[in-house]
Amino acid sequence: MNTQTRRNNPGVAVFLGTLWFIAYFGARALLERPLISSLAVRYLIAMLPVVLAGLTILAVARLVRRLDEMQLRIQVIALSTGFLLTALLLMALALAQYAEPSRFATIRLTEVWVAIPAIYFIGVATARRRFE
Amino acid sequence: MRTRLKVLRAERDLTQAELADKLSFSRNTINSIETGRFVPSVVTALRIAVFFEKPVEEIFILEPEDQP
Repeated sequence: MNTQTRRNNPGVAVFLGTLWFIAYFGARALLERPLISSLAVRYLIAMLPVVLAGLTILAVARLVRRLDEMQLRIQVIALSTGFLLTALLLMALALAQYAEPSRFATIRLTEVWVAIPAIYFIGVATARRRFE
Repeated sequence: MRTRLKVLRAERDLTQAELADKLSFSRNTINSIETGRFVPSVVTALRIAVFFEKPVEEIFILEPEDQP
């Protein structure tokens, strides 16, 4: 493992990202059930994933600052691919809701963001195939 | 554009990982430059040239089709 690989070790970001996902789904599971009546505690639970998301973003930003030129270009392609594919997905879902409301109204747009990491990794794979 | 990076690296008996370590690049970046899949910026090319103590045009050579 060379210095560049060691400096770009995504361990902390992956750990925080995993915690964020667990906290997000955990918070949703808790808040969807009438288990907690205190509004303050409900807000506290609701905001915990946001704090973890912020920490994950900071960890990722630290990684990005250490990337070399080609790795940065791969990330730019991956992010722009992810952004465009997410926009397409959202547009397709919105129009499908107009076409067949009874079927597509059950899809919650709040869940679309879960697809964004998958779309981003498609972008990373596409960009890597181009350069590596 | 073609590059003599692989030849120069071999002359110094360096692996891609060792060169990447010395230049603070990833090994994949060195590999992609050597295979011509990635054309580096002027700054990256100059950093490589400084490391090998060669003019940049001795390492990165324009092909006739690249020239105006």
